[in-house]
Order: sequence, then C-alpha cells, then structure tokens
Amino acid sequence: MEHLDEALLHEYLDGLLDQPSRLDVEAHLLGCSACSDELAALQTLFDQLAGVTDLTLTTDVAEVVVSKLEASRLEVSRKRPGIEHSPVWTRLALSFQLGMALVMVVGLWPTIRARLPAISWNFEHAIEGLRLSFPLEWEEVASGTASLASEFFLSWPSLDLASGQWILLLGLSLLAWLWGNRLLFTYNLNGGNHGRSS
Amino acid sequence: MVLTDEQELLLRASRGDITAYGELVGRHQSRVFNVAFRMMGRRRDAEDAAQDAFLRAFRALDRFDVTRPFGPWIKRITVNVCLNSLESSSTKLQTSVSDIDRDDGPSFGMDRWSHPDPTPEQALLAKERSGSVRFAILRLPPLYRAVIELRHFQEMRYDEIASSIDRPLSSVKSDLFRARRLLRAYMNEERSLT
Repeated sequence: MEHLDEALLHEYLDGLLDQPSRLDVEAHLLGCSACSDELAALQTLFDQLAGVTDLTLTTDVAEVVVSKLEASRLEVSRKRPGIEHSPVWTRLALSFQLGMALVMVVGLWPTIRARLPAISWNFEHAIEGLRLSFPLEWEEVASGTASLASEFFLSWPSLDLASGQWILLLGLSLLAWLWGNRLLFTYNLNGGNHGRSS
Repeated sequence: MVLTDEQELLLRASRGDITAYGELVGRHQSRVFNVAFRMMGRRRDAEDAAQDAFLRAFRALDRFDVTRPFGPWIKRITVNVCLNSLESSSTKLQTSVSDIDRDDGPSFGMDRWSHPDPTPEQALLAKERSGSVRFAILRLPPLYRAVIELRHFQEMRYDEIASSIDRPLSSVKSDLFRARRLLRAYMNEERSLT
C-alpha cells in the first residue's frame, strides 16, 4: 500500500489543504495504520508546542526603550546639523559639486588671469555706471563674461537674453543651488525625511 | 475615520511622540519578550533582542500602516532580530536545561491552560513539559527555530513566513517539516532518558 507523502500530513494538520485533498487524506488514513500513527505523532508534537507556557517579564523594556530614544534624540539635537550626519550619497553629491567647481576654476584660470585687466575694467565701468547713471551697463559685464567663456575649451551655448533676464536666470540658479545644498545638509537620519519635528 | 486606542498611539508615535511609543511598547513588551526568549534561550539575551526590536520598529514607524495591528508586525521584527543575532554570533548559544528551569517561573498570566487555576502538580508538570519543549526548540539551528516560532506561536501561513524571513516558499516548507522531524527526535530522546 502506498503511503501518504509526509508533506501532505504536515499540510493537513496545518489546515492548508483544500477540501478535495483533505478528503483524500482522511479517506487514506481510515485504511492505513502507519499513516495514522505518523499523523498522531505529529499531532502530539503540535500539542506539545501549543502547551509551552509564557514567562513573566521582570524588567521594564518600555522604560529602557524610551530612555534610549530620548537619549538618541538629545544626541542628535546637540550636534550641529552638518554633513557628518548626512547619508553617504549626499556627501558624494557635495564632493562631486566641489570637484566640478575646482575643474572649472583650474580650466579657466589661465583665461581669467589673461582677461583680469579687462574684467576689472568691465566691473569698474559697471560700478561707474551704477554711480553715474541708470539703467545699469550690465551688457558690458555680460559681454566680458561671454568672451571669457568663449576662451574655455568647451563652447558655451549662446542665449540672446536681455540683461535683466540674465540677472534673473543667474539669481534663480544660485538660489536653487543653495537651497538644494541646504536640503542635503539637513537630511534627518532618524526618519529619513527632511525637517521631521520631534 | 475613527481610530482605535492603539491606532491613535501608533499615529502619534509615527510622528515622533516617544511617550506614545513607550505606552505601545508597554502593551506588547511581554509578548515580544516571550518570542525572543523562545528564540534566544537566555533571559538577558531575550531582553536585549526585545529592546533592539522595539528600537528598530520605532525607526520604521513612518512607513508602517497604522490601521494594521502592531502586534504581529513587532513579533516578526523580533524574530528577524533574533535570527540575525544568532546567525552573526561566533559562538552559537548552547542553552542547558538547567538555564531554562531557572528562568521558568510560575507564571500563568498568559498560559495556554484551559482552566485558570492549575493545581501545584499540574503547574510543575507544565513547567517541566515547557522546559523540555523549549530546550528541544533551542537545539534547532536558528532558521528552524524561526520557522517553528512563526508557524506554531505566531500562527502564520507558509507564504507569510516566507515573506517574513525572506526565503522561498518551498524552502520554508522543507525547513518547517525538517524542524518538526528534529523536534520529535529530540523529544523522544528526552523521554527515553527520563
């Protein structure tokens, strides 16, 4: 006589068989003492496991957990929020930005040095313009910057914008950069969210 | 939507309210401790594991759906904490029967007896039986302890166990069946020695 697969007996006792399978198993058990004995032994184990009593907890885990949470919160608030508390990816982003800035300065340095008198003249002229008359002569500053950029090995895209639009664009870019870095530096490690209140 | 008392605590705790979380821990600490004790075998280790589980749960609360019950979730975390601890420790915990007997106190506040007031003889018998079963569980490898805990004490289905400990369903089934086979062998061994 073929006996039931052991897994079937386990699943039968775990109540995980569908009705047709359960009926098949029960039908087999009626005629097979070996499988019945095996099932009974398994049931005994299940009963023994169900009979395990719980122990009494003698320490106050809640008190320890609360004090540890409060201590870690105090620790975080005492430390100045900064890059050392930010995740690794934020530090990599900052390092990348610093690296790019350094590359640009190094790449542009010979040109900057060569053009310094012209730039100085442009700015002095711009300042004179500020003192003497309005509108500001930002066009000369803009053209000086553009010619400086054209000396660089990368070609810069030419944008035909009015001076005011240039100021707005550069101003917004600077704000976005500063805001983005501020967000990076205030990343909250506890919840992973920015500015999570206590 | 009207929240239950526990859901209210969970919501407050998920927003960083440590006092609310402390109250939640107080309600579940005993059950969590018992989960940890069945896995770890020593009271001190179980208390440490329970603390660790609650601390990890707090950090993950902002991702927890407060409408779900907290109990099953924290117990799953506890099992995983214990499993990680056991698997990473260089010396696997070997708990003797005497350790278990010393830790077992006459505690029937949460026992599984059908009647509330067992006689002293019944209490002693239960203690001895519990001790034997506990010791047999602790002789199992950590992974087998985990599947026994999740199936027999947390009453999880096979697929839930698989998801909890991040193992394929087929592996969980074979682990469970082998664990039960081993437990039976250990219990028979114990019986033959007494």
